[in-house]
Amino acid sequence: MLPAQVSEADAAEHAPHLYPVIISSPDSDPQTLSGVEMDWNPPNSLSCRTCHRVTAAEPTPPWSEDLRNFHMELTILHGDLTCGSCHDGDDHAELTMANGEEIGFEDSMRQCAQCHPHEMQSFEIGAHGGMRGHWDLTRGPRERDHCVDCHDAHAPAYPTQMPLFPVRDRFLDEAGADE
Amino acid sequence: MSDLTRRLLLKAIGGALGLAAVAKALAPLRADGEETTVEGFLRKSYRDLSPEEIQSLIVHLEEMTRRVHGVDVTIRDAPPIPGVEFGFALNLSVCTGCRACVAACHRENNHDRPSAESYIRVLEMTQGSLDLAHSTTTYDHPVPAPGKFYMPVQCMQCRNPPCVRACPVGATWQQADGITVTDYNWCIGCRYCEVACPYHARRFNWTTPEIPAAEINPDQALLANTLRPRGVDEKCHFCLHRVRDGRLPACLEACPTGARVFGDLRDPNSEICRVLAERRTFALREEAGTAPRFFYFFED
Ligand code: HEC
Ligand code: HEC
Ligand code: HEC
Ligand code: HEC
Repeated sequence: MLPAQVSEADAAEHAPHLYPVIISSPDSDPQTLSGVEMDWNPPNSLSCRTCHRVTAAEPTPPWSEDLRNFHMELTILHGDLTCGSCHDGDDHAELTMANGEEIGFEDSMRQCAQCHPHEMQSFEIGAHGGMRGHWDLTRGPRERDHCVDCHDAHAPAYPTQMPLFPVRDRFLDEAGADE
Repeated sequence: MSDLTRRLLLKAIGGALGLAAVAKALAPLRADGEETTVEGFLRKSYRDLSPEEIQSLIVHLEEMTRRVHGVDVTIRDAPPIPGVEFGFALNLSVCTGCRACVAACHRENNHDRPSAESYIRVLEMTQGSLDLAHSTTTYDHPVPAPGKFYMPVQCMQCRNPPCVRACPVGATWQQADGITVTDYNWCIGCRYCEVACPYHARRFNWTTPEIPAAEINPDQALLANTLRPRGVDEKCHFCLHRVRDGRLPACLEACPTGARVFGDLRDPNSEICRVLAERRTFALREEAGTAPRFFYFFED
């Protein structure tokens, strides 16, 4: 028990040290594969600004045809959203919030949260999105997945999969599925 | 309780109710080999052991594992953390029925490989219904399937556990953090607990569990995931060897969807308490009066 009169500094000293909850961070500089073999470094992997200059008036680079083809191969199956719902029109290396605020790719969760507040709240109370480590942060840290670890931003439906484990259920085998 | 009192008690109950004969008939598999030596700590229930005897038991079990399986394991005594009470919740809107939790439990808790044993069953259910009788656990098609939802079921760590009341020898009991444990050295294998459990959460070791040496999880605790002998009953213990160390249960860590929530029911800021406060949670077969510490919810 702390004494009745404690300064804030005292209380902070008595508060148990807490380990952090670390949310995995998406790449702040996502690359795109050109689909074209190039002899300069890094081959095949390009930052958004390599082509999309900060000024929208920049002339389209000569290899744009290939890239147009590549970008068109992106599957966008996300409600009726268009590229501009999420990507900043002026600087393609940024995302855009509904109020026009530019945010980095590493902060994309703020953008998801804007349109999916309920899932975001579930995430905050630990009921949506995986975790590993400690339930007790006085004893160790906890790692958490980011939305884009499980949902492709462009086609976010969670994939179906085959169940992992062969089930041989003694009880149900004996009793039959209808108990 | 000494071994003698236990036997006498069984006999007395049997005299009145004919239970001893039933128990004996039901328990033909209890290996009467090395486990029943003259050493004192093996003829006592865990609850009657002194700290020194617990240490002797640990040394004995570690040696047995080395001798029988050729594997070095570290066994701890992991008593409850004072002031903590564990609870679990599961988001049925997120679970996809992939059974990663079933597999993780199987490995973590050193379950028998041939029977693919696990403390967790996942029921495939029809959306809009909570009719357990028309569920199936043996589904084998891509998940989640249209029109279905998935309900993992394991021990509910009841506040009012029928398995504990059913045990004639006190080999299964509830500890201070709410986890009901089983003393594998004291269990007589009568399976009354299994019959009493409305969740079919208890498992019986029909054979001596077979596990390749390389797959034995060496991170072990008494009353948890030590290698069990044939003929004893067991069930989920919320991975007490992990959670009493502050770690998350293996099934939760393995869940690729994050449907599982675990934590301290006595800490109002814990995720489990927030889920209970902010979601419409329910317990399975609440009418049975078992008062589970395991809750389910859908997102609305
Ligand atoms: C090598 C060149 C190149 C790279 C690198 C590149 N793009 Fe593009 N991108 C294009 C071209 C060409 C188009 C077609 C439309 C145009 O001509 O502006 C396009 C179109 C787009 C569009 C839709 C139309 C628009 O202008 O808003 C978005 C959004 C976009 N790119 C985002 C990105 C992002 C994000 C990255 C980085 C991860 C990236 N691009 C990397 C060349 C590129
Ligand atoms: C729902 C918001 C959203 C929409 C709509 C969207 N994007 Fe994206 N995009 C993102 C986010 C977030 C990332 C970063 C993904 C990550 O971190 O995994 C991204 C990454 C990218 C990348 C780089 C990584 C990759 O997947 O190749 C490209 C290129 C891209 N977007 C292009 C486009 C184009 C072109 C469109 C329209 C056809 C579009 N995006 C529509 C949110 C969106
Ligand atoms: C600008 C608004 C907006 C943003 C930003 C946004 N979403 Fe969505 N999202 C939608 C809409 C609209 C739908 C379609 C809803 C429907 O069909 O009912 C949707 C659907 C989804 C679905 C369900 C997909 C399915 O097919 O079942 C998931 C999962 C999802 N979004 C995840 C995300 C993630 C993760 C992010 C951040 C990277 C994100 N969303 C960002 C608007 C948005
Ligand atoms: C660990 C993986 C994981 C993470 C991390 C994750 N989700 Fe999900 N999410 C899922 C699964 C699984 C589902 C259910 C899919 C199903 O039933 O088909 C889901 C469903 C959804 C849906 C669809 C809900 C509906 O009504 O169909 C949305 C929207 C969504 N998630 C948004 C998010 C957002 C936003 C974040 C980050 C704050 C996030 N998710 C983080 C796995 C994840």
